[in-house]
Amino acid sequence: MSSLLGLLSLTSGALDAQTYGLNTVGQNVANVNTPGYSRREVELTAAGPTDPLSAGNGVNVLGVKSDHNTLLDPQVWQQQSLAQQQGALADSLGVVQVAIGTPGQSLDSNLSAFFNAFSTLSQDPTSATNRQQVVLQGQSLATAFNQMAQNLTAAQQSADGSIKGAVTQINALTGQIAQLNTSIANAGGSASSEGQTLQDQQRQLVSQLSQLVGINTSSRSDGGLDISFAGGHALVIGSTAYAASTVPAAGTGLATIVAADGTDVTAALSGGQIGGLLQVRDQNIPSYLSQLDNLAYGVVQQVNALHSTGYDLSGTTGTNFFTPLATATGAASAIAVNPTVAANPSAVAAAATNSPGDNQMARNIAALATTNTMSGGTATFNDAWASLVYQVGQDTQTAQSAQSTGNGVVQQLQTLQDNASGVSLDQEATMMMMYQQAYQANAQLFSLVNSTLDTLLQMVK
Amino acid sequence: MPDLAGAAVRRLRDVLDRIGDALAGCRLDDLLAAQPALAAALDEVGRTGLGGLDARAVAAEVAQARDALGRCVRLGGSLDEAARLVLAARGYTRGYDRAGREHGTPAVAATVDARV
Repeated sequence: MSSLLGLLSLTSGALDAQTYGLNTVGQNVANVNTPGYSRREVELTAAGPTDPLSAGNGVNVLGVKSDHNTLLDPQVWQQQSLAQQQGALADSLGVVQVAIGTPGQSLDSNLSAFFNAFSTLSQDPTSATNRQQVVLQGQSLATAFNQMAQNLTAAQQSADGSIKGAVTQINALTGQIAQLNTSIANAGGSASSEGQTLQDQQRQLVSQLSQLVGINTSSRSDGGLDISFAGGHALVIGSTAYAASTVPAAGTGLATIVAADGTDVTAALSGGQIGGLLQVRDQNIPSYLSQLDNLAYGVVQQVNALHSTGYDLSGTTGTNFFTPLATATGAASAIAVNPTVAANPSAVAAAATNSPGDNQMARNIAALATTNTMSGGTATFNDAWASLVYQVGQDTQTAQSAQSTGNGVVQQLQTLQDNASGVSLDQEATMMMMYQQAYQANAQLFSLVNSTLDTLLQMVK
Repeated sequence: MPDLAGAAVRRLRDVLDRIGDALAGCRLDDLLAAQPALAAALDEVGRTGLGGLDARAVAAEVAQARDALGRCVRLGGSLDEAARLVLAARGYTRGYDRAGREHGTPAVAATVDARV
């Protein structure tokens, strides 16, 4: 192609290629703030000569390729999932922490006030005012237990509601992802500019999905993605979305999550907000409620055991102070002052013998405040309460710390993904090696740091 | 008496926090600069006497330093796995022998677990 016409054609082709490139740059600039957008790059190739005497035909545009590093996608999604799980856990536990209250202003103060009332009664066991005070403090304590159990149950119900909402969101997202699978395949997958744009959109949706629940993804040959959850149950296969659903569990009424194939996958789910919400709903709160129930049951049993052997003002014995409970389960919700005692404060047994001036039983009951009656005789009632408060605080702090670290990992992976765009594969590999080696230089000292901290901890214990 | 042990552990924790931040932000220079700082902070903890220390304060500092260390380990694990995955997919092996030749086989992982 050595004619003038041929030269013009070659120049025109090169200009087309440059225009294509400029359009792509324009698209990159326009989408600089678009979440999930991957940088586009024009792939040019030298156009081979058709004439043996020609040097060539300029350049041809092969296409536009997306710079997205798909290798890191599953990692980002996995880590996002873990960070969101801890985030949901931390948020829910924060609500529980508020419900539990602060030391000195919560159930511990009710316990102290109750036993102090018995102590005051022991100073004047025939005083109607003191007896009335014992009944009132007993009722306050029972109400505090009831309220605390109600707060924890409300937090559990709140987590349950959020789980149902999350399942609805999952179904909406998987529906859109399945539709995009069809569109991506029709657009020719990642080979076309349109396909790349659709893939960007799909990755955004998958990212949102991974924040709701732990997922596994696999790439399709047509450019789309198949998605499963809960150990292999399908959410999206090609153009079909498999909707999950929630069903109330028998007994508790709490939602169980059912995959499209009818399998109850609640126990198999992890990661994402749902993972965190399930953990707080099914593990943390039941554990706290159980501790609260044990404490309430312990108070009822110990106080009744003494009170029922004491004598009231009329010389009657065998009366329980609290309504007896058959089992610790549900004790915090059920605890109540015996209606007989509540209606008639003279029925409070302050005496250990049938003598109106005897105060020994009131003293014995007051002494329960400082007696190790809980946890196999190793803790007082207030110790048991403090242990619950500490547990909630510790769980919350652990979740917050894990969330913070998880967010750091997500940030790191996204930075790596951003760094990978716009550099050559060799540069990317070199960069990765340098990061690795710089980390390993520090990591060599980590075991020493760990053992030093261990030693220090032993010394200050 | 100043709490030298507590201060030394606090400095160690500060360095660990810096390493964690550098790992999260993939800041190579900061990561490289942290290594001598970590060695120095560790050395200082080793040299500091424990006489007259406030045990509770040191215990709290140690707990926070352990948290910071755990964060570094998790972030480092994630970085290591990401690098391994990318390098393996690019056909790079993990290291070099004495002659500067690459050795080892590409370790291709289908999944990554950076949890600790």
